[in-house]
Amino acid sequence: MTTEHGAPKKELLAMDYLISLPVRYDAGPFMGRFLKGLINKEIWANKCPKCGRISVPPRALCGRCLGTEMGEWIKLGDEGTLESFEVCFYDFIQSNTGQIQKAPWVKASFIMDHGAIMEHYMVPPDPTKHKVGDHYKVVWNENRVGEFHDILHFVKKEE
Amino acid sequence: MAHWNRKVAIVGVGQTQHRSHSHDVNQLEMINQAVRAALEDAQLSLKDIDMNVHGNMELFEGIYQGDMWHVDGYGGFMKPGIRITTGGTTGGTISAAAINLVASGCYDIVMAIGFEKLEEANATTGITNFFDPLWCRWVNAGAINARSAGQMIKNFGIGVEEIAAKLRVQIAENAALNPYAHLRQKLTIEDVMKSPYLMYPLRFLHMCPQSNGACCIIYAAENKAAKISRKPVWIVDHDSAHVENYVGPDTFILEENNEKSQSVCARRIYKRNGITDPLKQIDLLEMYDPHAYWHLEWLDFFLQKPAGTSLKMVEKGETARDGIFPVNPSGGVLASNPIGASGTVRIAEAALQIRGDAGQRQVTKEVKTAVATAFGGTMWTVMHLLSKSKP
Amino acid sequence: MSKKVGIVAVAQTKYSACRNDVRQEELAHEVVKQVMEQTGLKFTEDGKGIDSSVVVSDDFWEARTISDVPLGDAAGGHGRDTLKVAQDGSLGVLYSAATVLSGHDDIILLVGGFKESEILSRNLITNCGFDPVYMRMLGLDYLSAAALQAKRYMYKYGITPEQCASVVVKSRKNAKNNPYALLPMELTVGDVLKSRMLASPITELETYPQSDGAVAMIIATEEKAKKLTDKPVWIEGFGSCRDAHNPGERELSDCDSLVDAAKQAYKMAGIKSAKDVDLFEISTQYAYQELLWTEGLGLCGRGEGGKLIDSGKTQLTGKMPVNPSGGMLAGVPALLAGMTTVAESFFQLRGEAGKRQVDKAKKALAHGTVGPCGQMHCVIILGN
Repeated sequence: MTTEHGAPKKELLAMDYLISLPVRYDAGPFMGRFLKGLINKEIWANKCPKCGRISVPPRALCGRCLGTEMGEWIKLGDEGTLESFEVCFYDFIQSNTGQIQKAPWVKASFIMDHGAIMEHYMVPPDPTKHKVGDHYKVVWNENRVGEFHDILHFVKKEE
Repeated sequence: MAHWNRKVAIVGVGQTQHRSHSHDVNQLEMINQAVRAALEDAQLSLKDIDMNVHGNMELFEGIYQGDMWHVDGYGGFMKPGIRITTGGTTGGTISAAAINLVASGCYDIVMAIGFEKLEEANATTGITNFFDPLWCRWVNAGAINARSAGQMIKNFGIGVEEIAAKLRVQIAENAALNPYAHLRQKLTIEDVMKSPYLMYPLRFLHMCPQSNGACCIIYAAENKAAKISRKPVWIVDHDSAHVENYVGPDTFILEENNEKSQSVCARRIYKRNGITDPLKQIDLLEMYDPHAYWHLEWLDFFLQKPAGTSLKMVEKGETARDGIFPVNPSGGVLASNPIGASGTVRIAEAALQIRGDAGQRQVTKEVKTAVATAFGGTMWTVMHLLSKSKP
Repeated sequence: MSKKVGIVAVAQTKYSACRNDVRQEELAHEVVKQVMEQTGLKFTEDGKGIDSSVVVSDDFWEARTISDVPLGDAAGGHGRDTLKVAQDGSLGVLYSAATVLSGHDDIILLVGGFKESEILSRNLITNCGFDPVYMRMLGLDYLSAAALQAKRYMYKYGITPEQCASVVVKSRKNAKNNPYALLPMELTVGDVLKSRMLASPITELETYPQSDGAVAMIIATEEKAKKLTDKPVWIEGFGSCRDAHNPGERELSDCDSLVDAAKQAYKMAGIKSAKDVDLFEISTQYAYQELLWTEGLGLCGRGEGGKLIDSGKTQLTGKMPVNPSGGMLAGVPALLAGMTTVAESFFQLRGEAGKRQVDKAKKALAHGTVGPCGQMHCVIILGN
């Protein structure tokens, strides 16, 4: 490698690393109950006693109400209307696995029962095939273990 | 609250030239460049510095407790210090911390040093790592969030796309005059409108780059500030608005009337400091703007104006360098984003404008009061209010 | 210090080997709830409640970028001024005290909740604390770096393995009086030395055990502190200092940054030396560190740490009790260690330390450490 004047370019050194840290994330009683429910095809949410917001996945505290403990558990159905979606066109390394999450894929938010908003994947990854307000339903993974991928994705409901 | 124990001023600023490739320096050396520049600007030496506040996103570069390794880079050997990391707001938070430390009376001169060497990181993966590992992390990709863009187009029509493009062109013109900015090439509206989509409707050229950079600001107590600097830039106030943990897209809403943290923070800091008409009482805004649509959306919040006001202002060129309300004459984050430093760069740039030391990117009008903002986390905001005259 | 800053309420969880029954923010909530109940304070913007929150968390330990995101919910952060200190909790106390003195906030909630049980390799994380190009490749982590320091210290001053082991014996015995402690236990010096060797000369029992827990405190101006409690504990002085990083660039048998941090704290508190302090809660990740840190703080002369522990003066009933709570070697959440020393000092100075109470305690020293081989120290002096 030379510069335009013909002198050799100095090569600066760099090192490539993949840092991997083994971690075990605890689910706690709220996320834990939700994830377990997925095994039985149940989608659970919980409600803030102060502001009434319904959170899915459920959480222990309503941040908006400055740490108020969430209250009532509510079971949601597995259908919703499309609230918004984003099609992702770039690959990136998923930090949970260290593997590439390949594009294109769609992140979508759905308004479920009681106005609760839930995020998950949606297919197909073609923006022209989806319209905000349409009805969608969950496609369950046949093999459910209590994890995000127990739901494969949402698809448009055949009317 | 803010009934200050004593007043604080900026007496020196320094930054590196923000770039995508800085193979000639390691992290310490990059930090050192900014620190030397700030000391030179303040005409101080290391022995004058009482404390160092260090900030970056450590999971990006993969260095645990980075302030330990970097101690020689920022000259922290045998000095007090703390380390703060709050996502993109880091640059603003370390400044807020440095200001509080000086105002406390315990330290007279405190250095805030923010940096990021994003080429040594995988930023998208690093940012995705901030989401809840059990759910949201699978379905979110870094910081690219096009939701606001979609909403603006829905509310104000497809013409918003062209205004966002015009804004980006204006930013490019500003950045071309800023020797420290990362992206300095001039753009046309067509360039922007033809750039590929990252996440519909957000295009590649609407989005900030990933930069390496460091920025250092030296804060001094009022009894020393005037002796150190002929042009101290006074800190009037700072505040921040945090937002709850992200569990879904309805997270970013603060109040029942759909307010976001920018608006809440602005309202609070303006009320505390007698600012009833930001457009008239503030001369310049250095906003942390990760993408063009957010720049437009948040400008309305920072000006406390109805939604859509910014669209008209940008269309008329009112936020350009020679406009009635210049925004990001430095090019903002759209032109350079060394994440841990970006918030600090906003404050440094605002200070240079107040001092009249911003070189070719100096705005036309006199700048007596400026606002600098930082953004990050689950849409948090940190704001600093700066003034030419002592408050 | 011209003005006073007081701690008005403290809550700690009982330290546990594994709190897998809760997520991190839920753990923090347990203690935030308690301090808010103790003081009756709410999160407000009118100057009559908690003005802002400071969260102690670290992205590596929580394996989550911007790790204060979940903790913010427990700390009442939404829409409000919230900051995070990404180091040992003692720096969180230092920063909160400085912020109250600055006038920016009158009442601050400081909270940390940490679950080391989620981290399956402590050493892989601390290995990342070294530069990636050279030191990391040696496989150095904070444990092996500490072993180097221990060896050097013991060689230079003739400190014996038995003296180091006595630290653990004392620590675990003191822990029996501490209802929060994780591992109270009767041990002998022989037990400690026979435990599994991790990095010579540091054995397993000489290493701080893994622990989960949370600590919260409310820090306020003098005027408000006196209204919130009739027994405020004053933060009278603080100091912090960073030494050089690479172990090879330091004389490892010294702890210069501790000496400097202590000097800053003593000066601010208006005291001459350790002799004016009644009890010492110090962060010792490895047994030898108690001996070395007692020298740095001035409890004894250089090289006399071993003699000091042999003399019995640092026992609970001695003249200079060190770690009456048991300290890190009995198990405290690592990131919060410095904060637990402040919490323990709080209980001691209010006469609420039960069986571990140091008689007539008027001044306490709390301490935290960051980085390899005690590169950085933070010292806090408290009084009642």
